[in-house]
Amino acid sequence: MTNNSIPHEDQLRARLGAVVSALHYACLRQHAFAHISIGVLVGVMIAIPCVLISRFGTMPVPLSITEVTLACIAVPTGLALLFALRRAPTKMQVAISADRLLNLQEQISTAWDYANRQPHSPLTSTLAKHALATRLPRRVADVFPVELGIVFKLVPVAGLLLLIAVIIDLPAQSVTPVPNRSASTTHDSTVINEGEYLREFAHQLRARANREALYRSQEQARALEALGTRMQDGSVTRRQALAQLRQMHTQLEAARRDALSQGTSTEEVTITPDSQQGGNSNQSSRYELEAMLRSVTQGSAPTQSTDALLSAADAAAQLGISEADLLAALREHQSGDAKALQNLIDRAGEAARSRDDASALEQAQDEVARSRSELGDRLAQLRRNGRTGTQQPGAARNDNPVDDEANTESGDNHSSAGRSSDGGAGIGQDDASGSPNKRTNKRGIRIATQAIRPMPLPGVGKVFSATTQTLPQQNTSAIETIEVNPAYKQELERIQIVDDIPAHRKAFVRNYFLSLSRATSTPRGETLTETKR
Amino acid sequence: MTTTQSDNFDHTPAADILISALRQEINRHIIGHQDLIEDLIAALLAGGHVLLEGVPGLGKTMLARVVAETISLDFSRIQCTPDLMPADIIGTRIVMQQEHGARQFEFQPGPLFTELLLADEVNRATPKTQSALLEAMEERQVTVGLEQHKLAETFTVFATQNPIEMEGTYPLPEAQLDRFMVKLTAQFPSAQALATIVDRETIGSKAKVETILQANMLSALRKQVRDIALAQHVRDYAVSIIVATHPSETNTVADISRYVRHGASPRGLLSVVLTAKARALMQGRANVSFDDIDAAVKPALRHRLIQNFEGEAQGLNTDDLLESVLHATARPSA
Repeated sequence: MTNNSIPHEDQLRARLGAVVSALHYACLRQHAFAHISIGVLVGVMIAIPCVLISRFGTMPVPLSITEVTLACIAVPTGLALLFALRRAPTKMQVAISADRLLNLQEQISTAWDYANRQPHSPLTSTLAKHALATRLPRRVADVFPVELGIVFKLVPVAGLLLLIAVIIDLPAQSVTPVPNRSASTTHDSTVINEGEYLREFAHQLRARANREALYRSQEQARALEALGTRMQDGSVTRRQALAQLRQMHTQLEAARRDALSQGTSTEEVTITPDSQQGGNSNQSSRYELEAMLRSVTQGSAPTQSTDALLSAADAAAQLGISEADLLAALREHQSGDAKALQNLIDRAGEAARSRDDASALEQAQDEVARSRSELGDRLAQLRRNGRTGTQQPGAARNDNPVDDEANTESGDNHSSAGRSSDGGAGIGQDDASGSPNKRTNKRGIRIATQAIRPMPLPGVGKVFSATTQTLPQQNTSAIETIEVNPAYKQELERIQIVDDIPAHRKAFVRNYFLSLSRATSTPRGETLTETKR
Repeated sequence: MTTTQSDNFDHTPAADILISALRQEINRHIIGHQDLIEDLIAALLAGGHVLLEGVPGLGKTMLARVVAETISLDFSRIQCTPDLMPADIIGTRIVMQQEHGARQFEFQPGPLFTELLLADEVNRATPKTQSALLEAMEERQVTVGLEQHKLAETFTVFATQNPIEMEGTYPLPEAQLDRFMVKLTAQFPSAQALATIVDRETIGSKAKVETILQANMLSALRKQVRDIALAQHVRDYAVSIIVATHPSETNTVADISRYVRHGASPRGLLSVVLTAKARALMQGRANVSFDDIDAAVKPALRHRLIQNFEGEAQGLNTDDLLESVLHATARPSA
């Protein structure tokens, strides 16, 4: 009678299976979401220090910031997902949880238990019927909603911190691979000394670059100073230092070439055989130029100014401004149009600055190469040996501080002693400065690169120390101790205790007796005679 | 007529209605003992014997009598005294003279041959009499001479004892205590219940107890109780509770290991599960829940936990110990 209204047993079991499956799927989703949230949060928290290390420190693996971030997040998330899969609840566990959450008095779990153990038992159908008649929500998946717990809410906060770590306004450092992670990280005194030297050099170079607006040198000096600081701190090993020095050398070379390309693009033009040999055509234009300059400055400037202008003309020629252009500009200037001459002057100034820049960078390269050599870079040592073989003894390092004016005034000596040989020696220097004429013109005026050498620094090289010991002298008191002669003692005390005698009188009397006592206490122990007293 | 499990469960709503009516009728006559009545009905449906403990005058005897009348059971009462002999409750063989003059021994059954026996103040009977009762409770049969006599299928013992007046008593041994499925404690009723009792018992005539169930219906309900489904994880929970009552277990509660000498027996586990099943049936469910187990633990185990000297000296209540066990035992969730 009631069989028509009651679903078939198989249908009941099928419906029970569908309900449990839906609950299981929802529970798995919730379970996975919770674990992934934890994984992402942990990953972001790990990524923050890793990004900071990647940007401002030395990473043991050569990865970009993006790669570091992705790796730090992906690995914990993957592990969390694996953990979630491994701990995924079974359908029976899900049924028990659903009973607990919905307070169903274990009806679903019992029905599912019997459906697995006794699938064809009438009791199973009855249990399924009771379970399906319980207070199950319309959407079974709502029993296990995806919960946005505290962990999930912390993920954006951690992400914000990661973003700050990524975009924080500090100079990003390139990631330098370490070939051997097991290398000793103990402090290397050579590295520290070289780091100190490089840092000081870079500091001076940066000061000069700031002063003279050498923007390439500014940038490279900053990087070199940072490298020197790291080396000085002992935070890098010798191998790491060498690797970073090589990279620094490459950067300096690139910057120097860039400066040269801007400042000496017409170098080949100026250093032509004609200009070197003083051809007839150029000679005639030079006479005309001198005459023009004298006429321009006639009556308004002394002869020394004209000579200076001629020297400047020579310098302009070296900077790629032909004398013909200069002459034409002077003519226009004389006719009242000063624009052409101003352009020439600006061009010459810019080129001179670029050449100064290149010169400073070249010197920085020399210092880096020297440090590499000191740290045992065989290639740098070979190049350095090749250079020092052409140098005069004692001229390997120019210890003059960075001072353009001083170098300009005394540049001849440096050119002949230090820089004249440097001109053809530095790495990458051969093509750009192959001739000594590049440095001095016919009149011996030094025109471009000045030597930049830091001040001699303590701590470079071996340090010798000595300790001496001396026996102490026999101590004697600085304050003379005088024992009052007993003969005067009673009288002295009598005077001192009398209240009516003023203090200064008492002092006078005391000093009197003390002087008598001093006289009587001779080293030989002699006592004064009555006559002396 | 054979009855399948599903047939039994098709009657579950009817059973629910019957039990509800039974509960209502008993509550109509017994005031202020709702929990006690619930436990009593559960034990009755589970087919177990009940030990009622309470001070005199709380209505224990009246409760047993009302239950017997609502179920239409044969009811007998024994007032246990030290001079009560086993033959007084079992019965004895007496010489009977036949019509033709011949004489022979015939067994004259005692008050034990009934469906509901109330053994009042059972701890006042001697151990010998208590032992005679023990066989009847466990095996539902008595042996007189060489003859064995079966008791009624619905034979149930309601025994009462006074917890405070221990002079001249023979406390029930653990073996006999274990025969009782549950031990129920009659609490002093509330003031409101007392007022109701006064109004009902002192005015006019007593209300007549209506019969709700017949004895055969009780037997059918007892069968249904045994057909209640017990899932594995619920069963494991009951087992873990029983295990936790043993002080020798490593993961047991600190109070148990300190104050308990012997934990619950396997018979105690059966009592817990059967009582829980009866509770499930009373609530119209076809399965046992964790709550049913929890509710059955104290009535079924409170007389099965044997305290050691320290526990006895401190006057601990076994209900508190069982409460700590329930708190410490985790329900299977994964």
